[in-house]
Amino acid sequence: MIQAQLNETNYSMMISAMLEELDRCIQLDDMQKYTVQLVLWELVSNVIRHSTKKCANVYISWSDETVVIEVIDLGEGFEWEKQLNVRPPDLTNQGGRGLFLIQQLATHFSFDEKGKRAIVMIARKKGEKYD
Amino acid sequence: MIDIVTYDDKIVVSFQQDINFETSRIMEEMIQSQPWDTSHLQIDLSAVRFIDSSGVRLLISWLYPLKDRMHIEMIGVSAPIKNILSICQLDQMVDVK
Repeated sequence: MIQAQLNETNYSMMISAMLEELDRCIQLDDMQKYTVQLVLWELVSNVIRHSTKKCANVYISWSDETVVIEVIDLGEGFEWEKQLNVRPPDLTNQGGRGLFLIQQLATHFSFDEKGKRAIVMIARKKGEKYD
Repeated sequence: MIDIVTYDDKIVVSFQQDINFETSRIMEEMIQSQPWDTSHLQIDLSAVRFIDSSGVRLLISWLYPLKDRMHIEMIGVSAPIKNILSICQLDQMVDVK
C-alpha cells in the first residue's frame, strides 16, 4: 500500500511521488496510469477547493485485478449526491466534469454517507467490472 | 507555459505543461488576453501528458465561442488525452489528430 497526507501546499508534488512509487510497484498500461492520475487529481483538488480542512489522507492499494484508491477528506465532507449520477455536461457547460470523468473511467466509484471517504476501483485487466 | 505564434494563415498555440487544477488558471489568463483573430487555430499538445477536468474546462471555455468562426485542430494528442477529450465531447468541435 502507498499512503500520504496531501494538503493545498504539497498535493502536486505528492501526487507525482505516489504515481512514481506505484509505477515501481506494479505494471499498468498508459490508460490505467492516466486513470489513476486523473482520479488522484480530481478527488484531491475537490478537497482542496471545497473542504473545510483542505487536507486529505490518500491510500492506494492493489491486487492482480484492481487498483483501489481511497481519499479521505479530513474536513466536513462533500455533498456528493448532488454531483454524482447527473446527466453528462454538454459543451455549453464549462465545468462539472471531474466526478463525471471518474465515473466514466473507473469500474467502481462511491462515497460514504458523510461524503468524506471516496473509494475508486480501476481494473487492471481490460473489460472487468467490480460493481 | 504556453507559446503562441501567429502566421499569415493561422495561429499556433503550443502548451508546454500539463493542463490541470494547478496550471489552468494562469493558462486561462494568458488565453483570455489574446484576440484570436484567425481562420485557423492549431493547438499543439505534444508536450502535454495530462489534462484533468480543470484543463477540459479551460479548453471548452476558450474554444466553444470560437468554433463557428475558425477551423480548430489539435495535434500531438496522446491516446489517453484523446479519450478524455472524446468523453467530454470536445472532439465534436475540434479536429483532434
